[in-house]
Amino acid sequence: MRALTLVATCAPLTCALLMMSGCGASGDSGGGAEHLPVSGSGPFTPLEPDPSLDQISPPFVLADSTADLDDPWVVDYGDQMALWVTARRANVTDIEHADSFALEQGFLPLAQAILPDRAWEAGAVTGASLVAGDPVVPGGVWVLFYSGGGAIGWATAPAITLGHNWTKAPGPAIVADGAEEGTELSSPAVVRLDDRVRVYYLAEGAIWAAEAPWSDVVAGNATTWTRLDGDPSTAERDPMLRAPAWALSIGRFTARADKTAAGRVRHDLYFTAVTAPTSAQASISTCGFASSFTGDRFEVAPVPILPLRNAVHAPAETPYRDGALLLYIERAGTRDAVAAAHSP
Amino acid sequence: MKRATSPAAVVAFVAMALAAADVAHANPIDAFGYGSRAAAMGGAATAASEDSSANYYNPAGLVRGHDLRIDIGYRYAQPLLRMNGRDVGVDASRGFLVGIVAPGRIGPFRFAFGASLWLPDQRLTRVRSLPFDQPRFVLFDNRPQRLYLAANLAIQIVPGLYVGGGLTFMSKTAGQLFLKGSVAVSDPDASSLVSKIDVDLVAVRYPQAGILWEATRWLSIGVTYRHSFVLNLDQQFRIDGNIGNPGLTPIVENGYFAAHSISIDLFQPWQLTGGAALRLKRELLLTFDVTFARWSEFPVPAANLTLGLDIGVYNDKVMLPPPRSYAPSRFHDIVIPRAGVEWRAWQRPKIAIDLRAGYSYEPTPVPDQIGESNFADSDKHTFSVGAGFELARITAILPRPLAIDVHFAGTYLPPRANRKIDALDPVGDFVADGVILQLGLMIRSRF
Repeated sequence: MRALTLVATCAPLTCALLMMSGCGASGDSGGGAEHLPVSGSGPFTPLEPDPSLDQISPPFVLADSTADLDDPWVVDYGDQMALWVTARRANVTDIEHADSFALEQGFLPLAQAILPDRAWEAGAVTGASLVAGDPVVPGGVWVLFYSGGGAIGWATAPAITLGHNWTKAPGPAIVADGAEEGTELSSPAVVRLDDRVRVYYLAEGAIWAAEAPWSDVVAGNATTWTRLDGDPSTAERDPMLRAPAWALSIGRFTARADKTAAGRVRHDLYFTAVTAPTSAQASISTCGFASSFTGDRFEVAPVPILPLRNAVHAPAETPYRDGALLLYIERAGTRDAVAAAHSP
Repeated sequence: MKRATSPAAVVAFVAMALAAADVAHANPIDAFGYGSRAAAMGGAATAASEDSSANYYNPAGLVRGHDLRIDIGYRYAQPLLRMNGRDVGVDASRGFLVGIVAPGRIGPFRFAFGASLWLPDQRLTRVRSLPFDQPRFVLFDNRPQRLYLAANLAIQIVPGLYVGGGLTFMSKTAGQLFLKGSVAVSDPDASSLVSKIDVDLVAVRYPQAGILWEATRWLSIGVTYRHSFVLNLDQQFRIDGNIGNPGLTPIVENGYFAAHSISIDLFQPWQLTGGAALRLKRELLLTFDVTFARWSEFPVPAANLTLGLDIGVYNDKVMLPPPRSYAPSRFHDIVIPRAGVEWRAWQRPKIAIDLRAGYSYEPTPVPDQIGESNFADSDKHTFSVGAGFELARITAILPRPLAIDVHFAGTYLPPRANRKIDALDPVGDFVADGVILQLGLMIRSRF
């Protein structure tokens, strides 16, 4: 009788609980590995060929049959991206621009952004780098630095143009100091640090930097630049970055200075490096990474951030979706094109 | 005579349990509690449990009541845990709770046997070992995903003084894969290998014990100890044989390659809980618990991989990496205060309603993540509410009151920033925060 009582009591209760459990039975949901943080320091893996993608040919995401592309600089806005590149065509070397609604859809055709039309530019402009404005920074003015004639110039675009119509400043912003920087600057990389603008640039095989007030830059009036010391602990002025031990030399690069999730600024440099030859690997052009929380005394990653398969150069990084995306230049047939790699 | 020997028997029982136990185990009950009544009271139930939840909170409480009890429940906990503002998708923990308390008496000697089962309805257990540097919510990633079974025995030493103890059972995994034969170098398909797979789910148990003293009519005091537990994941792979091409003299005779990985799948610290229950009025019960949890013994949850290779004259052509070393986890011990209240809000001959509330504060044992590891966690503030409906004489076959308890609990993890020393860190600075929502129902029947 007691057993019957137990069964009579427990059976309907158990049925009710089973019904409850069925309501929530949606299976496994990922196991805590979704949207994990990624710093962007690599290593990066080139996009794999994917037959389902008919608008890009991974790892290449942008190519032009009439131009060698170089020096990509990318601005992300959600899934969308805006890309500026140097385009070397038969008759002109200029800076061009292309938009993308999503990486898998590739980029729209290139359009001219900055043409070499000033005497000091010596007939070619290269190496665009930007501080993004509206809509990335609501209401913000767009600022673009570029290289020409061994100096660095800049242009601005009002917020309403979304970075498509540029007005050049009257003259170059930074010229070589004739001392440690030698006589020629190239490959500017700009970052905004609150009320200042910092421009990194390449000179004498190293990366240097100078700063100016943001208000002066936006007003087209940035004539006073403060040269920065890459290692304030020594008396002489040092570059921000020299070639690391694993490289023979460093070349074109980009920079980022974003706040981390913990609220402090991290300064990143993505640079071209030609590796030193080893018994297993001949010298090859690849990409490296350096970073700093203070904006000087950069630490350099001990190995390249891309696999040493093909010669690549001119890396530019952006956060994208759940990870980081690295755009870089690689040979595609007879032309240099923009390829992409992801991390993780 | 029986009364004189019974404490010794319990001590012997607990000692046997300690001796038999492997090192520690982690379980979902530690994370979310057991039963709706205790969960609604902030988990402060060490001195206030006498139903099947006593199997977890204090085994001594099992012998407090005189009725046969069967409890059945369901609990759903949904973590919404974020890193850098994005939900990382930590799995829900949900499943059935089934418990029994069977009291008995031999002359004046009262005893009770109890057992509790947590039966997840997604998976019985999850075994996994993640890369050391993979970000994870270390206390919720794997810990709630397993079956839990506890069995206890409690006795009354003298009226008002009870002791109890028992074992909690879980399982660990040990797996081995052996291949033996010939490996063809130029044509791998021509290889002839015989495989042998040996995987065991080894029973592991850890002890718990408690004491409960009804000091006065309005004050009860209890102490509970739960032992620690480390769950290893042991995997071996070995291939033995000749290397060469079929029909020819082997290039390497009797070579082998072996890999042995031992990693930490789960860890539970030993815990000592002291609690008090104050019945200030007949309708009002206040409960308090304080738990010390020995998290400083937390081992590095990374795989220790040992490789072995013998390919004869080619040994010097292959460099096997040495076993990797990891920085210690440096978790720290914590003290967890809990408080609960139960108020008999409504009392009629056939129905009574209890309202409950509770709060607990669990400081994080995880140090700031400044190096290679990325163990996300934060302090935990848990607020809980619940209600109990006690129905009397509802059917002829259920003469004793039937209690239906429901609870809701919300755990808040305030944002915690982790700043890395190394600017090159691939994960970088991260902020961990989130909430965990929990709903439960428990039906407690007495016979």
